[in-house]
Amino acid sequence: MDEGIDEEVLSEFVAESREHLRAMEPDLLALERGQSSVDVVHRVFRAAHNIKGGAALLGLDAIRSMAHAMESPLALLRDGRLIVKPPLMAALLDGLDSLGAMLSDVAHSQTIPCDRELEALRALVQGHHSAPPVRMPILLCPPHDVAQFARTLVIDREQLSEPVPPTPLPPTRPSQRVFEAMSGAPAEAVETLRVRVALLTQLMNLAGELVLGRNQLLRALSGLHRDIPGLTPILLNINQVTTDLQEGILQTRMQPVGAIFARAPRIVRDIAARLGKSIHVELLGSDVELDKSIVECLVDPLTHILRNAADHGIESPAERVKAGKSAEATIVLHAYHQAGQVILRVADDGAGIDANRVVEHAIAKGVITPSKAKELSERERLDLIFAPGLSTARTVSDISGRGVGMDVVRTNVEKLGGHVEVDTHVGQGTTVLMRLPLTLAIIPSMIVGVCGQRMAIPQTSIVEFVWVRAAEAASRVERIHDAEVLRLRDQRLPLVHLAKVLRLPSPPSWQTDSNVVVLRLGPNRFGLVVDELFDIEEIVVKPLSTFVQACKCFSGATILGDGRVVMILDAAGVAAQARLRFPDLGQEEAQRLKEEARRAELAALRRRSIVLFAAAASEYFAVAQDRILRIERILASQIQRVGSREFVEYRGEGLPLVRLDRHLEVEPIACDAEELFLIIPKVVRDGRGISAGAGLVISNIVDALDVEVDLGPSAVRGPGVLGSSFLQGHVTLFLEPLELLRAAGVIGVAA
Amino acid sequence: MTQYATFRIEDLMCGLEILVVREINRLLDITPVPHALPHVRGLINLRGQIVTILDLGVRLGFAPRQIGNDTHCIILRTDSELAMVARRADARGLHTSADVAGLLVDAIGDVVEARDDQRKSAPANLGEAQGKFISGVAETDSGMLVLLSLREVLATDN
Repeated sequence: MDEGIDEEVLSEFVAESREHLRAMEPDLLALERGQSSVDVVHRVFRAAHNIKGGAALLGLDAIRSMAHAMESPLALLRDGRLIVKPPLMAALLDGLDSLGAMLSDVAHSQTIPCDRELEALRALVQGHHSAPPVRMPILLCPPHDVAQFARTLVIDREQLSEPVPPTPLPPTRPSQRVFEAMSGAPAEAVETLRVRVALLTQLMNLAGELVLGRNQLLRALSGLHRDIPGLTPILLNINQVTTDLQEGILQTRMQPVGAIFARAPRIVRDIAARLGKSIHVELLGSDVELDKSIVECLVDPLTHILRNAADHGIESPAERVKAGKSAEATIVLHAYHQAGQVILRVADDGAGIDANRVVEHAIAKGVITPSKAKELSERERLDLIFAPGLSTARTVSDISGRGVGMDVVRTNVEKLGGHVEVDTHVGQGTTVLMRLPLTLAIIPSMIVGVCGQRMAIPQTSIVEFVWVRAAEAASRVERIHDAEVLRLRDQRLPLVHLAKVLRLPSPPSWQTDSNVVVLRLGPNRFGLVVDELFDIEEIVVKPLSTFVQACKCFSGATILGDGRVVMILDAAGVAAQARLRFPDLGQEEAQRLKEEARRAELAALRRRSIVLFAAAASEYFAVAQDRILRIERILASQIQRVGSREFVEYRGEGLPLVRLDRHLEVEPIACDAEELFLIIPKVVRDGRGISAGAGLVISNIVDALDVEVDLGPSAVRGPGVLGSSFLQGHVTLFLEPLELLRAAGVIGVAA
Repeated sequence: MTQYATFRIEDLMCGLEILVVREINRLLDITPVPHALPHVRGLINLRGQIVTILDLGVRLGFAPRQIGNDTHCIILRTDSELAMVARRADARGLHTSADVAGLLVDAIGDVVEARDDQRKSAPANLGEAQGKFISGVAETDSGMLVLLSLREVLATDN
């Protein structure tokens, strides 16, 4: 390589060429899938051509030869003299990889072996060189670019007939405008500037320090607002500017996950091609942004998950057809925001993971003893896939199953402050869910106090806070041997006392009001008892020094606004230190989902149209209108009794009746009422039509109205009670009719 | 001639080559780290940098240091800082640690000089536990100086 080449020019070339490569890959894959169009071929050709031009100018011969070797078959493809065939695409993709390898080490690009790739590409164009000159292609570009484009073509033709051009090419940049016009992008692109990442990192650290400095300044001056005139607006201004500055700098480090998603189709395609599988990759939410360092650290875990899915997860086309699925499998990559975190979901519709096979392998590999395996719960059995040195592949292939597996995925993701969860259904597929913080640098954290010390808990680990009054403790906290569990909405939450885990001197628990921080650990939850809750603070994470790295309870340290150093608690470390073992949470998970559904129900009910009705004279009830199929008026004399059950004839069939007072602690309807009403809720059967399942007997319809209510806890407990609220001067009980019908046994649980 | 920064632990006058010392501080607030090694006293905020403070007393087999008016903290240069300030450091086999550490001592003394041929190996009657952290002694004008083996003091596996 020429010594005189400017470093900057070179790095510019590398960066630009990388972008070309990134753009080429999806296009080549599209061509391979048969989604061929004139535009796509042109685009790939131009990208290869630009790389060749730049490399020639800089005297990078190896890169130039490779780009040139790729360009030739592309030109023939463009002119219709070659057609898309698997060997052609394989050779082009291999060429692309070689270029990538050379670009990653430009100084030694000559030494990278690529003869095989070059040979394969040259073989493709053999016999075409002597063919007549290039035909003018059908162009889809605006007229003012034609001349320029034609010039490129002339150069191409020269090069086609001469495998090694004698002189370096002038730097041709003909395609930018054509490309933009073709792709429909605006001609006026946003101006951008390349900046060294190290500089950005430094700026970000400085901004972090500035935030801390500002906090200290605000604290130090807080008493002086009256003494110094004009201080308040100055401080407010500094406060705002600092925040904006920090946010701006963080923004510069944000990258769309599309950068790593884009690799997925290629990874999957290579495996699918080798194993004779057919897999479609769907990318959703590519524009969701994450901190650059997180995006980079996700490359390996994501690649691994994709390989696992394509290699082990997805069956051969024959097996899929036998199982009644389409021969083409689908892997969906989905990124989305949820509660201040970014969720990455990789879902396949393959065979799922057989927990029995996981256990067999774990035993065979000595990860676990057979006797211990018997004690495992269903979830723990599945969790074994995260154990180091375990692979469920039947045979060790060169694609995956080399003994490093999901444990690396979990380690990497947890290092980023995230969580991994796996959900699988045998025969239906596997979903891997990664929860990630938006940015590594600054994370919102709850500052808690224990035995006079403060510690930070990252908000991503926190589910909620529960306040347990000293008086309540006896009824809400149960003891099983030494273990304490907290009753929380029908769930039992294992409790861990932070002071005990950290071996700090602590007064006996529950003597005073206590704070419980509910922490998330993969699919599990546990409660951490702390002395005090302070505030949410944005903290800058500093890694632990080697002297204290052995302390598994902490993931790092930080400096608070007042200058004190505090430790950052790690939920997984605390749980491990406390020796928490999570039982089979299948049931509790179902409970939790039900709870979530119920809460969603409540939220929705808040803005809904409701029907207000009464059973006994003074008790008011409400049901959401969209839960109701019909409201019917009946006469008491129409009711027929069979044993203790009541029916009424409704559209030629017996409709079972449900009385509220049989299931809830409410007054019965007066016996002498002649006229009654029936609320017939919508019942969905077998996921299909809506039908009448039963009728709720009430005495009177009071009103139908749109309300916005905040439901409070209800004094009346029972099936279907969502809560109560004060409406039109009456305490009103809000009901979910289906649950009532289920409890009454008139409709099935599945309905 | 080598310059030593001297300091006192209980009744021992100890010395460290001046080259390894970055600065000497009065004590700042120390945040303890639960579950850490016994000689790890905690973390301090040194102008935005988190520094681990080690209790040299515990290392040498004494009780944890009581913090008094004379208590000081000797902040050590990291390996990379050492490499930057002096090529000589490497030649003399001076090593500290990759992360910044500070040593908690009872009191700070003067900087003294000693000729390299005045360095002797540690007396044989030093206990094994203590002996490991002491590389030798040096005769100076102001008396005998106990020289520390930083490599052992800063090791994280013992």
